[in-house]
Amino acid sequence: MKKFLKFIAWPLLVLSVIVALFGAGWWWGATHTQAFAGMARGGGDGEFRRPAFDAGRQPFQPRPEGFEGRERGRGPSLLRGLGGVFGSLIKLSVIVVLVLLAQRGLTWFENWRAKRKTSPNPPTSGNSAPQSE
Amino acid sequence: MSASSKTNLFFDLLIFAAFLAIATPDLTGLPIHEWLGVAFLAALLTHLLLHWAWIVNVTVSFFKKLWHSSRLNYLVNLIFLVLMTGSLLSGLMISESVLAFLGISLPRNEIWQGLHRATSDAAVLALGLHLALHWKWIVSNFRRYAVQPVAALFQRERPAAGSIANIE
Repeated sequence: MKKFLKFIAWPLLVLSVIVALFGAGWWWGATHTQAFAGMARGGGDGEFRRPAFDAGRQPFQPRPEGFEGRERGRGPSLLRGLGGVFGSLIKLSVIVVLVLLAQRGLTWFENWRAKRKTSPNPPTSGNSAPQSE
Repeated sequence: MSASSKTNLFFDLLIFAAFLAIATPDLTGLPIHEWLGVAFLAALLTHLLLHWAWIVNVTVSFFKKLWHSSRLNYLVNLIFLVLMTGSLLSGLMISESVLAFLGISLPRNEIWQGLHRATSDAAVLALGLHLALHWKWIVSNFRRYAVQPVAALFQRERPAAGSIANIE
């Protein structure tokens, strides 16, 4: 019972609170900006009007292009879907490779700095001990 | 809850496959995309529960040391969690199948759609960082639990030539 509380119930509660807080934040952001847009529209002179806010206030409108058109206008397709999955994999691979290269570069730089610190006067290659002929 | 590396690896591979499917609505169609999103929320919570000990440890020691790599991991994971929560929540707000199933009807809202698109695109980037920061763990465990068992299977199936001669 104690283990259940510690490892299941308590984490779930904390995560639920975090998710609820995030959700409330998103919700507040969206509703607040809508209310703000409504106030701006009522202001009269209409100097600055953001199109996205105004679009959000209109309940009935023709289906827009872009996001909606991209996803809702067409049904599922294996070819397009696999293309999308392949695209995501390429994006992820590029990010992973870049980060790994950056990590390697940082490690190399740290090693180089550590070497410089440990040997303040490194012997130069041309000034070795004189050899007897 | 502390799961074994094997459990974590296979669960993470499953989540990764689900993420790829969700990130491509063209593959599944919109209704499955929406329901996969709901299922993904549960999978995300399970993933967090499986790594709960690490989360607690790093949260407690976050401000104790000046710098450690776990802190970077923690920040990336936190950003990823925010983006995934935003993406799933905004997806729920613009969904047609899930909300209709629940008997809820909401007016179309461009803000939620914009948020869904922005957070989903950013989540792919955050996932890339998340994968890169755990790359060593992924590669070593994948080799240990997926590549080596399969390789051992093939080695066992191929008996040595001398042993066949002895039987005959």
